[in-house]
This record gives sequence, structure tokens and C-alpha cells, in this order.
Amino acid sequence: MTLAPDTPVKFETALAELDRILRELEDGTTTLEDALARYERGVALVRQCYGQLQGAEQKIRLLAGLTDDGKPDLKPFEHTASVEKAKPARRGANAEG
Amino acid sequence: MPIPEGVRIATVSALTTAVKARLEEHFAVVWVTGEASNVVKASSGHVYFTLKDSQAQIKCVMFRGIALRLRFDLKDGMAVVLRGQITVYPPKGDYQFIVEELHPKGVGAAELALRQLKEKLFAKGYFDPKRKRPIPKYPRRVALIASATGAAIRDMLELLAQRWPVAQVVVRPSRVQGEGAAADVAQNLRFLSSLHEKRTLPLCAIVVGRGGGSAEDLWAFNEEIVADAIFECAVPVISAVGHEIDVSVADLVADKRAETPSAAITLLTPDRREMMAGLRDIDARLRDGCVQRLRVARQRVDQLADRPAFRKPLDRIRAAEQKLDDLAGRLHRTAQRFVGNCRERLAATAEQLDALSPLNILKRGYSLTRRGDGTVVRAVADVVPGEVISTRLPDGEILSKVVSASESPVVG
Repeated sequence: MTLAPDTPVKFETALAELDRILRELEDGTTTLEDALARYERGVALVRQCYGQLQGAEQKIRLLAGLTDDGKPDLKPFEHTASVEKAKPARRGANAEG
Repeated sequence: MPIPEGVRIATVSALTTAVKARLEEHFAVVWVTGEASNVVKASSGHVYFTLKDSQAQIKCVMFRGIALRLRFDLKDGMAVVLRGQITVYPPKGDYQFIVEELHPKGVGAAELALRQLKEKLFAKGYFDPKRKRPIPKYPRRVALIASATGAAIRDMLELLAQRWPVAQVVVRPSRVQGEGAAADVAQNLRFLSSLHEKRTLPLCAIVVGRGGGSAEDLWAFNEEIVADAIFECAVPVISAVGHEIDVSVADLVADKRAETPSAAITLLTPDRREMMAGLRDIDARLRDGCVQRLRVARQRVDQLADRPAFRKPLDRIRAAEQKLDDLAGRLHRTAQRFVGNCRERLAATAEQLDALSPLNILKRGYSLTRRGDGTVVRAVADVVPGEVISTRLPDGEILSKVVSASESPVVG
């Protein structure tokens, strides 16, 4: 029931489960014990999703081609000078990712 | 009847040659308009057709060199303007028109070619809404095909950073306009598709993006090779080629079409801030649901405790009360464990749990209305017109006079 905070959770499944928990909780047919258990599960899911969204840092990669062993050759992507000039303040922070 | 003396008798060939020479001399450069019919493409690459109007017709031939340069297909019924010359085809004795230029009438050649390509791809099912794939709602990895230096890539990366930093972004630079752009875009689509299929670089979506430009610049996205590459791509494709007026072939084949690269990102990604607000709302609803359950349970225990008949097994009620306190504590602790900027809000609310004040309920938008004697108004029949009633809200009270009171059917 308790999940490690850094486990990547699938938003689709987490939100679907939260929706179900809310409906069960709000229609008031569960026992008090169950309601609390659902609440705890719900909060754990919310916390996980929230943490992932809050801590997300974008990774931007340039696909240069294939490596010698046939894997995608991904390099850090740097913006060109012309773009830097256009938006000097905001660019740097975004591109580091 | 004898043949007169001294006449020159020509052979068929000689006569035909003479006619041919005359005709070619007199009709060396001719412009003519009419409707094409009986269009036949021979295996040699030459195109044969008849040009006609209501009263006459001319046999026409367009040799391979000219036919190949034509951007559109000549079709039966098409109104055309021709430039060419008249000649004679001796083996058949036919005179015919040799086409040197062919123009569609009333519409530009490029436009006609595009229209024909659209018709062809439509017939092949490329635009079928049924084959449009949904774009994953919470994409984990997206690829961008765009010029590495243009405004399109900058706009897309900025918006991605703002809305959905959760996703990994793979940039695949490509020419998107000018010579070779179509082949480049098609090749990059196929490359990404193959990596996805091999599971070495699984993708949720590919955006093909390009900043604004003229309709001519758009040409790469009207080429059949690009249409084929999108159609055969294993990953959903969003086309964002930046032209609001003309819908390109790529737009029609793509799973989703966006007017600008920024619009493509908006369409592709959820907004992180909105989602976080949504999660805070879910959290509040979870808590409210629980608080409500606890409140109901506590009321039941209180009612039981009030009844003399239940006073006797007092320890059972004490036990129930204790259990409620335990659960309230659990709720409190769970709420406190929540991270981030929700923490304080949650803890503050959790502290109010023990009080379970009806004011909390009022804060959610409900109100309590009483008559002058303090009895609660529960039904329309409880009040009479002209009577003064008071409504309790979390921050005070409203006094009002009943204008009318009539029952209405319950909705839902």
C-alpha cells in the first residue's frame, strides 16, 4: 500500500484509481475502516503523482544517429547561439533539463 | 476514262509527305483549347488523347519528355490549353497535334497536382478518421522533427519545459523546407519509427514542426513520400507545419493536426500546474469524504450515548469512541505525511478534525436557515410568506423575508 516516493507511477492508472477511491468514499457505502484505508491509499497516490510532477526535470536529447552497436545515439541537446540571443534569460534554465 | 496525258502521279507516301510539310509549315506554333478525352498512357511513356469540343476533335500526342514533366495527371474530361504543332502521322494518314505545353484550364498546375494527390491518398484510405491513433495523455517520451535552429524548435521546447517537464524530449533535426526537405522529413520519420518498433527508443508521439512560411515553402509537406512515411509510422504523428490557411497533405494523414508548433505541444501534453491543482483538489475531496464519514459516525455514537437504554453497556460506547479517536488520529497522520505546499494546508485541516465543527460544512457552500423561533427550515412547508428567516453562513448571518414558498419537483 505504501509506495516509495521515487517509484515512477503511471499517471493514467493512478488517476483512474483515485477516481474510483473518491467515488467509493463519497457515496458513503464503505465501512469507516475501509474509508480510512482508501483515504490512506488515495493520499499515497496523490503524493506520488504530485512529487513526480513537482520534481520533474526535462531531459532533452539530440538523436544524432546510431551508435556502432546499433543503439540510438543520444547526445545532450544544446540550443544554437541564435536562439540564445533571442531569449537570453529563460533559455539557459530550460535547456539544461 | 483514261488518265490525262502529262499529269504527275504521286505515290501515297509522296503526297502524305507533301501534306505533312504544308501543315507543319502553316501550323508550327498553335495554341488550342478543348476537353481531353480517351486519354491513354502508353508503355513507352507517351500520352495519347483526343482534344474535342462540341463539333470537332483532334488527335493529340504528348511525348514522354513532356509527359514526365507534368506535375499532375491528365484525365478524361479535363479542360486544357495546349501549345504545340500540327503534323501528320503517315502510317495512318492521320493528322495530329504534337503537344509541347499543357496547362489545366482555370486552375494552376501545382494546385491541380495537389488536388489529385489528395484524391489518390483519400482513395487509399490515408485520411480515414478511423485509422487516426489517439495520442497518449501523459506522454513519457516525445520526438520532435524540426529544423535545429528555427523558431519552431525553440517554441516547442519552451512550452514543453513549462507544461510537461515529465517527458523526455528527443530532437531529430531535419530540413523542413527547400530542396530535399521532403525526403529528409520522410527519412527521419522512418528512422524514429524503426527505433520505436525495435523498442530501443519507444516513443509516445512524434511532432513534425515548422514555423510559418509561404505556401510554396510548405511544398515538402504535400509530397507523397512524406504522406507515406506518416501513414506507415508506428508512432502517432502530430503535424504542425505552420500554415493556417492551407491544409497540407501531411496534416491530413497525420493522427493530429496543429496550426503551429506551440499548438502541437499544447495538444500533446497536459499542463503540470493544472494537474497539480487537480491533485490538491482530489486530496481535499479525499479528506472531506473521510471527515464526513467520521462526523456521521461520531454523531451516531453520541446519539447512542444519549439514550438511557444504551447507557448500561457504557464500555461499548467508550470503545466505539476510542476507535473513532484512533481513526481520526490515523487520518490526521496520513494527512500530515503529504508533501510539498499541500502540507500546511492539510495539517491545518487535520487539526480541525477533532472539533468537526458544522462550520466546516458551511464552508463548503452549504448554509443553515432557521425560523424566528430557532427551528431549522427543512422544507418549503416550514415557512409562510412574509415570515422573517435567518441564514447562517460561515462568516455571519443573513436575515431575509419570505416572498413566496412553493414546492418544486426534486431534480435528479
